[in-house]
Amino acid sequence: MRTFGNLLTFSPELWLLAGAIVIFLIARLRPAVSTTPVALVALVASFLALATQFRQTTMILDGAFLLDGFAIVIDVIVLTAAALTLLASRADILPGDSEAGAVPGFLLLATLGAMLAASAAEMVSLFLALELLAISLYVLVVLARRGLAAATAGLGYLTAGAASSALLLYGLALLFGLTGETRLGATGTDMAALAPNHAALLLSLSLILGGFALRMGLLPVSWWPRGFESGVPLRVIIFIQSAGVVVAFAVFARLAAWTFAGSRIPYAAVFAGVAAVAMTGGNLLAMMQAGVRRLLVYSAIAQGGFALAAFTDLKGLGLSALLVFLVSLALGNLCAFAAVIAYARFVHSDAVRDLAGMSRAAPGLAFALAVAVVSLIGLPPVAGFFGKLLVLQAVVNGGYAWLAVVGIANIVFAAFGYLRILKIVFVDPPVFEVVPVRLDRGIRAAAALAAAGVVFMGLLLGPLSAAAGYGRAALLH
Amino acid sequence: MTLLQAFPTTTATPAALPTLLLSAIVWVPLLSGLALLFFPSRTELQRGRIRSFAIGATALVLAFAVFMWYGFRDQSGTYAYEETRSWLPAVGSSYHLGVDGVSMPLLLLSAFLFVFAVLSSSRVREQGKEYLILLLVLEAGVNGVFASLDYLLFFLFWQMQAVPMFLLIARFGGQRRLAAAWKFLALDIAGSGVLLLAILILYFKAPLRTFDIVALHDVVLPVAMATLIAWLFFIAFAVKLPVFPFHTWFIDAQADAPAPVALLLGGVLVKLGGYGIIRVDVGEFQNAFHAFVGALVVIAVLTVLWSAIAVLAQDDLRRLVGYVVMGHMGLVLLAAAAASPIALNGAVVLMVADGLTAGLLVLLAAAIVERSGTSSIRAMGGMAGRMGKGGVLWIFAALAAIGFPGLAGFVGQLLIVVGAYPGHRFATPLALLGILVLAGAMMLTLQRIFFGAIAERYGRIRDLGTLELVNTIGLLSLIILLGVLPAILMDSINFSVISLLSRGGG
Repeated sequence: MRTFGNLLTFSPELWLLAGAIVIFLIARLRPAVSTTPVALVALVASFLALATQFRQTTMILDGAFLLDGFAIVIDVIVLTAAALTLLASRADILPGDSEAGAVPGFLLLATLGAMLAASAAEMVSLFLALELLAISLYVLVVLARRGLAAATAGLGYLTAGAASSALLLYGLALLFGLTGETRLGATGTDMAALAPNHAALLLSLSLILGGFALRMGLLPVSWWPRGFESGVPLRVIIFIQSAGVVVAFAVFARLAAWTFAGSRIPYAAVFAGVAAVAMTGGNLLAMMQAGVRRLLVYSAIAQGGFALAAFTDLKGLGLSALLVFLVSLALGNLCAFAAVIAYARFVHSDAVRDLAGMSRAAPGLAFALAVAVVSLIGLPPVAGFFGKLLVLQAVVNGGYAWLAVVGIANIVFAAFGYLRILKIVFVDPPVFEVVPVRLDRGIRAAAALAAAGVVFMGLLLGPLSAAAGYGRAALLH
Repeated sequence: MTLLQAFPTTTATPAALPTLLLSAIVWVPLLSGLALLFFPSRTELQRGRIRSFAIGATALVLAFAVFMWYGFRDQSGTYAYEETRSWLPAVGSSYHLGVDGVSMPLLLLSAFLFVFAVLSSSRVREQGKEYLILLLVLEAGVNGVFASLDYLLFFLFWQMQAVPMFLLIARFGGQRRLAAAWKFLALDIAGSGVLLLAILILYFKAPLRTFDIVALHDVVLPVAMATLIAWLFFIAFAVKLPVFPFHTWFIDAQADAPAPVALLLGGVLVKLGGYGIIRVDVGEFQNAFHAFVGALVVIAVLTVLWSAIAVLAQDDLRRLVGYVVMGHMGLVLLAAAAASPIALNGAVVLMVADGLTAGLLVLLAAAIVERSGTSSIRAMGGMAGRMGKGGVLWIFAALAAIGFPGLAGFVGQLLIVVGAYPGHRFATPLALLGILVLAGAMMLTLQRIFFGAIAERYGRIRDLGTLELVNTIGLLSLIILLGVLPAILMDSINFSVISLLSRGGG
């Protein structure tokens, strides 16, 4: 049993760690130097290190981590999301705010936590990795913006995060108590053999799902107390809503596929019920919002519901559908938020009605936002449609045809709600005399890349679904 | 009838056709639209360049379409110019394109009308770039629907039109454009939802895990299931067609969309509904479709009669054009319900003819409304003295719309009536009555607009300008060509229609 022998498999993570340390040193010693390039280099190096391990399955630290196809697919999504977030970050630094040099460092740490969580195969390592991610996010929330409002929002997020961690821990503890195993794979086999108490298992599943709900974006969180310039900075929200959500679903998928799928509890029915409520409720909540930021965050609840719907067919097509859907979700969120951040620099407001005239002041951004909105609704021919289609396929395959009908109804319903944004962006007369500002190059690149990803995902669906199938196969052995 | 059926027995081996043409017809507009995003549009010169580029792109598509048409005439396979590429093996969907005698004429029509639409868009000065981009995306969607042989791809292209069309109406339309745009969007998205539902039910109930239209043809489903799917498909297409009572979105959009967009809406977009009914309901679910033919005939006759009465009572010129189109589409539905080869031949020819006629009517109506400053027919009068050329062209358009021999509409209407009568001896005369009322109403309108006392309040009215003349005469010559030489379309339509009907399907 080699304990440390294959530790070099961690090289992608080590690159991120090294990058973070360098950034913290620079931020301490040379506060004036921008640290973003270092972080980008670390991300690229990490990706290259990961690329050498494609198509391998490596067990690390006695099975605490398992770098398999599923983890690699998730890692690639997370790294891409982190890089795009970094590109978009600089535009989110408001005049008056200082560019905290350590922010990219914590972003790298959060990415590191996310990657570790994606490959965690054991309860303790899983929880620790998730906490690394969460704590980096708590720091980011407060560090990236000064002021009381940011601190209040940060404290709110910390409280919610701590509560959800506690729920998760209770759930995991119960699972451990029922099976006596911390390794997820072994838990599943034990569960099939021991057939423990159904009620206790259901409770454990509910607790774990409740613990993940915040990270999956299923809970309505008020990120912003009031005013546009206050509250949690958007560059942190982008990361939470793309990489954070993807990892939460990935970890939960591994957990569910390895443990609960082996049990005899009606786990699919639980997922179906929660998914239906989240889809409908999220869309309803989103439509009542007057601010774009809030609208996007609430619509993420509906998106989370769709992703959860894929879990009804865990042993079949669900996991590959989930992976494709997560890619489309991450790209759509990145694209939408990048466009909103960039435009908010012009008008200092995020009210939906203040988007009027956006197509005249910033046609490129308006196009990116339009693409993102259409994708988040799930209309063809952009990414969101394919993701939702595959999820619907999985749902029907899992025997939940009614959920598919709910899903389609939600797409139609969301279309009416969200296309209002497009009407305001493209049709309404401008409310402000907008002076076009020269935009930061990074955010333009981020928005353009994400929009291109959303538009052309349909064409690349062949390789993408092949990768998703590979990830699924890795998880189901 | 025997004469018509004699054609397809010849089984010549099809000549090798160049591939990628169909892909080009779909992707050239889309890529041109994306390319336009990067064109600067600050000076007049740059805007002119954008316009020329868009005209060039649509003209290129037209050239491809004509070239395809030329090579297509003596095809005898089921589908020509087929392209199959692996696209989504995981769900069983492939990039499968192909045309037959039903879709090829409509594709040709679409290519022609988009050129005319872009040409007649010179009045859209403000934000012309966005407008043209939306128009090009719309063309990609429309052509894609006609060319798809895979349900998923079909749905994709079908849905691709909703957002551009919505923005085109909402952004560039007339006074009540927002209400019209929302109404369009509401019915379109709801219809698309039904379409997606139908496709998914078919996909999951069929033993094959594929979206391929050709492969799914031979699948036999339980009767109840097939009937349900056929109904769902029919509802989705009927909303687009538009049939009574779902036609109000179309009439409102006709009245308030900018003229080139209204041209496309009446000329091509509603034809997608007719095409869908013929391709999917008649072609793929013939037996199930037969079960509810009675209901369809009732809907078709109601649509024709309603449109005829509405034309008679209508005072708004642009709405009137919408109702004329709706009446013709009612006839197309009657033909689909009859499902006899002659009637279906007529349906395809009528769709092409009506597309051209609707285009001409829309352009002329927009010109008249713009010059007289009112869309109320009663407020007009004596325009012939001021707009001589416009008057002559309107007479031709009205005659084409009512099916005057020698003009395009005649062949289609005649074939539908002849083909539908044996099966529906009561409904066909009723529909014919509707067409007669429509003819009378058109003549009445003609008289009200162009003759009679000259309304004093018009000072000087310009006659049609050069560009307007080019567009309208271009459309008119196509109408006359098709009226005099229907054979250029008929042969291959007939072959495909008979093969479509003989394939059955359930």
